[in-house]
Amino acid sequence: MWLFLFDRAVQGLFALWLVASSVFLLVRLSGDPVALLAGEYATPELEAAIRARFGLDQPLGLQYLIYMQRLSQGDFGTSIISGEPALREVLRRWPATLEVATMGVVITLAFALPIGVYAAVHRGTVVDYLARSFAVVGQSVPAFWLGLIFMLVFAVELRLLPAGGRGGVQHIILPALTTGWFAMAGIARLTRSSMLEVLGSEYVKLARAKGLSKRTVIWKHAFRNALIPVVTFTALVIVSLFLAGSIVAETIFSYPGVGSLVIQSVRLRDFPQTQAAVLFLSFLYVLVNLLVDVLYRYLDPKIRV
Amino acid sequence: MPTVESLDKLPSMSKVDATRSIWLRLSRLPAIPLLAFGIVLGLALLAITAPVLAPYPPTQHNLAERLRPPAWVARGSPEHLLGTDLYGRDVLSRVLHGARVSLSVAVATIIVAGLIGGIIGLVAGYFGGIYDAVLMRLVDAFLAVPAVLIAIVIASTFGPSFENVVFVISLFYWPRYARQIRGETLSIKERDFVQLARVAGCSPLQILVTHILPNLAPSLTVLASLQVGSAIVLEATLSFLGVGIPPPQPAWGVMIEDGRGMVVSAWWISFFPGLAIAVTVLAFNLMGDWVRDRLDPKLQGL
Repeated sequence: MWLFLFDRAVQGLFALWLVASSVFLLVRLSGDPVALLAGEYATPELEAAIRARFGLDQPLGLQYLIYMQRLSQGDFGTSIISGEPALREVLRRWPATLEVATMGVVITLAFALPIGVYAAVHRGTVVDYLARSFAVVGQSVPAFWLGLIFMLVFAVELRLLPAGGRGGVQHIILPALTTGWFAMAGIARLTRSSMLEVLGSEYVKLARAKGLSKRTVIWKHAFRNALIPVVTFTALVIVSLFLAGSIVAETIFSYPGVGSLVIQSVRLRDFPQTQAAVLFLSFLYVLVNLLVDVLYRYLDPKIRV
Repeated sequence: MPTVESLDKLPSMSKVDATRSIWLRLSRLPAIPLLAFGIVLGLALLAITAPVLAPYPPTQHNLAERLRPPAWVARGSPEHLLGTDLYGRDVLSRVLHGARVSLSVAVATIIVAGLIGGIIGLVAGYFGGIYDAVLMRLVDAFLAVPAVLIAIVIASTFGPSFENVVFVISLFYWPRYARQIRGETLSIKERDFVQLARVAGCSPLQILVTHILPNLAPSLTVLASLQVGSAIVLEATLSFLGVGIPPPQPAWGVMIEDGRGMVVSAWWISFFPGLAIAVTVLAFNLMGDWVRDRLDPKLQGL
């Protein structure tokens, strides 16, 4: 177990290093940030001063070493636009991303689990057919388009929910639904097939034969065991909720989280800010992946990935 | 049941019979895959013939006709079946041309990712040892990297363009090919015919290309067909975020972004390209599932 943990941790660190280095390289490749900062009419002296201030006058190798050293000390550079430490803005926006992602998981599970269980128990009925179609179609609809449709229906036509911005719980629902949509379809599908497998097993038959109520058999015996693959899948899905989902949903609903920060800073060419936000999200991604691996092994010792 | 002898006595099939049997086979397909195949085929045709079929050039402005709703809505005109956008560009023409963009991105990424992943998987699986260890570590690292984030950084660095989108998407699809191909190469290389070829003095390259590669065709097909849908969604997402296909071009993601600010007053600008994505991806996913179940049910987990 310790060896496994160590192995995974090394792998995670390697992935982080890969991200950090490629971000460094890419940012340097993206053209001269100095020209952008100094503007069109800058004097050579001004340009040189800016170059020196951001350490861009050093050779590339040395820049890389300094960059890596600073990163390892938690220094993510300074935002060009605001002049503040780039990490500060990321941490300020982090709770917003976290609340959308949490709500996304809650909504997703609240719909996906009952749908999956119901479809499995009533296998072959119209409801099962509908649930399966929902799962297949759901995975084909792009989240960002669906977000717009949600906005149109729930915010504009029905006026039930706000169309954007951050505020109370009602502001979180639409972005959360948008982030969770793809996962919802997948989890419903997985719950259904997992339940079907468990419902056909000997101990469920025995529980039925003992004369236990249908409800007890389904929820106490079958559902608990069917959850194992669902739990790991959900954990993996949370990871992607934090990332792709948060970027898209926060952009559509102008939600001030880390995801919309990435797009915003890319548009403003604020490279230290982009760097900080991307590295922060990558760190989370790698960390959660690691936890999922461990959780998976703990839940199901048969699996040796 | 016919015996082997009785099969031998069957008259050989003429060309007409062969054509008929293809139709017979197609007509025996279950309804859903058949429909999916039909949609995919239709889309490919639309994409190829878009320049002829589209009533207007996709980037032609016409300010006199701007923000026309679809033909069946009040104020709509039969000149623009699906309406026009802010600059008077015909939405139908743009959606048709968008099929070209989406499908060519999907095909290009499959080729690039398949080639890179295939070669790396073959080398790792066949030569094993240190090659295998290093290459598979690289694959693991790539799979652990958050694709969309890096894609955004790359696209914003090099600027949005067709080539960059293909590059970015391929960069995150090749590890899946590499992993699958490596695993299969490992088992195929132990089979007798490969051992015999080696004894007969074939070079590793010869063995890989003529003996191992043909046996990988089914899983390559399955992987590719399952990947088309997600590649199209990823391309559209990147274009929507402004880091994919650059704006004047008629990519579906770009069009949805174009209409985002006007979704209340002019819903049709974003609605139709989104519908096009959903139908296309659904058709490809259903087709992919079917191809997988037919060719290789072992790949269920993919």
